[in-house]
Amino acid sequence: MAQTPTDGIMMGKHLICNVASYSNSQWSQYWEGTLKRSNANVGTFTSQNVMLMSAYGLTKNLNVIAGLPYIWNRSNGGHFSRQEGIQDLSVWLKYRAFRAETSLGTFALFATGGISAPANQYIPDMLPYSIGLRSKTASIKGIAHYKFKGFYLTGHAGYIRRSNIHIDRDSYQYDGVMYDTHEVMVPDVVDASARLGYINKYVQVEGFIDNMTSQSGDDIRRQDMPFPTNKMDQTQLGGMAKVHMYLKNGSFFTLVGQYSQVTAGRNVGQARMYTVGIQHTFNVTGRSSDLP
Amino acid sequence: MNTLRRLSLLSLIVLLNSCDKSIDQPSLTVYEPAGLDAQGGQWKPFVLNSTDEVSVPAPLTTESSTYKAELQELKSLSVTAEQQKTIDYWSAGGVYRWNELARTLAANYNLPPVYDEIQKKYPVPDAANPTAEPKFPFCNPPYASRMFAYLGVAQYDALVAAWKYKYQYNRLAPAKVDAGITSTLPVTDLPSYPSEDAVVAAASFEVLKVMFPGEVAKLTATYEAHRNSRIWAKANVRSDLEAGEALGKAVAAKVIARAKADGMGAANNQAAVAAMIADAKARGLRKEWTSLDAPARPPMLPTFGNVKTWNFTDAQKVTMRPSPPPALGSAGFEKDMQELRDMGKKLTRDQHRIASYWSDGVGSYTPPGHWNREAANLTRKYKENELRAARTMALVGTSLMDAGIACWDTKFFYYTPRPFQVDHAVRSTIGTPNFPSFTSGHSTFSGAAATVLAYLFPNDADAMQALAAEASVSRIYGCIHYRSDSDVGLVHGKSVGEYAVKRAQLDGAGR
Repeated sequence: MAQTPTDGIMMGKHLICNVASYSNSQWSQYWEGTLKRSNANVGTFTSQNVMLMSAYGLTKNLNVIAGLPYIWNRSNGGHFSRQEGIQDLSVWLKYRAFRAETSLGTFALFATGGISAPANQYIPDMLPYSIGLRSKTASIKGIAHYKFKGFYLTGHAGYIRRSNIHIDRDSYQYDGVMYDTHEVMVPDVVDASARLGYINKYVQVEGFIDNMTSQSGDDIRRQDMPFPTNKMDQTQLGGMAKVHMYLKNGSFFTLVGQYSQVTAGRNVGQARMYTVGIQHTFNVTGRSSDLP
Repeated sequence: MNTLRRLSLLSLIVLLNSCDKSIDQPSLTVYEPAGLDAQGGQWKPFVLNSTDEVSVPAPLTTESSTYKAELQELKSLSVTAEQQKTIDYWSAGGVYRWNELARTLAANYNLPPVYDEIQKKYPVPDAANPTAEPKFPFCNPPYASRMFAYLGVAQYDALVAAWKYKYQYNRLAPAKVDAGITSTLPVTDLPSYPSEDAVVAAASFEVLKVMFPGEVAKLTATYEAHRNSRIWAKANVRSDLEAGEALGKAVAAKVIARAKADGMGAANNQAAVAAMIADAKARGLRKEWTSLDAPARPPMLPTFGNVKTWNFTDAQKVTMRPSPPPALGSAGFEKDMQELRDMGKKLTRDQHRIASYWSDGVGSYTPPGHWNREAANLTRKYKENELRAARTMALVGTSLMDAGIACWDTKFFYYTPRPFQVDHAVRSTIGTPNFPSFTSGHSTFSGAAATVLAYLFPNDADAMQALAAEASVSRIYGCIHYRSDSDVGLVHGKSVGEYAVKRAQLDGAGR
């Protein structure tokens, strides 16, 4: 049932979980630097994606996860064309380094390492319409997980290293300085989250808060477009629920729903997003699934 | 599994550390000029009727005690690492560096005013209050074309005068006068009084202060750094600089006087728009351009077409004005429109690359800035001395401003709608500018600049014309211009450029 690099759940050995999800994110206000504003030339901005993701238990303490989204971005104001396409392929290894079951509950520590790279020649500097920044990334995350009688608390902190990118132009400005090159700096990001929830054999519900903070970058200038060098920060609050349905062959399907709302940000849209997804989990050796 | 784990951890650490985030930019090195143009004092200036309009007092002789004290100052100098950086920076060329700075300022100031929700209108930047929002200037393409033109002309006219007095007084470089002085820059036989660097610095400083009145502090620091770099490099003595500064300022004053009287103050006459539309309709326009910005924004500088040109007369401007584009609804128009509808579906990645490369939109140094960069790079490629480099920039700069004037005259004469206005299915990847469609500004600017550069640099003629053609078609790929806008604009721009070439053929500089 592990399908994210930041949760406290592991897939058992030989278990594979395939996920298909659809997300829809919308905003009609954004932060131009720290100034929150609307812009009739953007109107309401909508980003949709379909994500295919798989998680597999190499061992009970080591999972591999891979994901690939297709993204559609458009707005109902202005005259910019929509952008769509396959975005970045991500691969993570998730390792459970420590686990202790005590009378006070279960403690576990995880480390996740991941890389991502663009799977497509999409345009990175047509923000906000660009489907991504074209940066190659390497990330490392630490996760602490505590569970007691089904209730759990999970926290994570991570660092995302993002490579410089190349844009079609060979002249642009970053922080007021002109650069005569195709190469553009993209800020690294620190991300963190906290999740409080309940899980049993049939359901999982949780509330979460997460944050991403760019480690450098400039602000969108007054009435300018966003640019990949921007310091994009955001905090969002959300909730998630899952329901599992077991089949006679030992595999099971999971329905997932999630909703989140950006509550604070800088150089990003104040998005509210919902995700719906379906997961299928089974043992590749054909045996009945070991349940979490 | 342990090995796998270790390997993956290792590769992750390597990845995290391997990518250096610093941006490599080409570093510019000093060159010895390909020639000194000793007759340059005879070249024809743009604004000065004659170099006699400005005077430079005779320098003190190299035997005088004051001059000897100036030499002694150079001898006893020790240069810090920071000062050496300043020397290296300016050694790329004063004309080049000031143009580069102007491109940065153009990009910094190329932001349209934000709609005022309370007053229910777009505020107009105020030159008397340049740092308040909206900042003055909104350095849009016409404004930028004019700014670069006056910068280039002030540098050029001041250097023509400097060359005259250099060879009249013939005081050599400090290192040539005194064997005990070794300049850290190449030393040529170019007389050093008045200093060409001080001339360029002062002329550029004065013009840019007028063009970017909110940047006086930054410009002052730049000016002082340029001036000081010549002392630190032991390339000039103080009296070289003082004479150059006075000359640069005197010429700049005359160039700025021309700017004040060129009609730019009346270039944003929105009151003239209704009559322009009525006139265009009387000539057969079926649907007038309207702003695609929300809320609708008044057109950008609708009367910029009346500003005083450099290389041709108003009558010649009218004679050159293109014939009308295919009328809305005609077969020719439908053909152009259909091409754009198809473009939205079939645009290749390389076509987008071209559209983006030449987009030069909001926040950029504009198409005139793009061509100033091409020109400035060619002055370095061919190792032009400061005077010849300034001539290149003045010819290209004035031609770009002429192109802006001629194009704006055409745009507001015909007042045609943009493709998106006619068919909302035709959306752009690069942003639609806020003025009528016919002809394409990019095409006109590019045709003019490429024609001038092709003349000045015949080895690069084909490359320049290819760049102009690419810039022109980029607007079709961006779905913001009909093919007729681009094709006609490019030809119009070449006619504009030919006038600058005619001037160049007669200015005494040879090619």
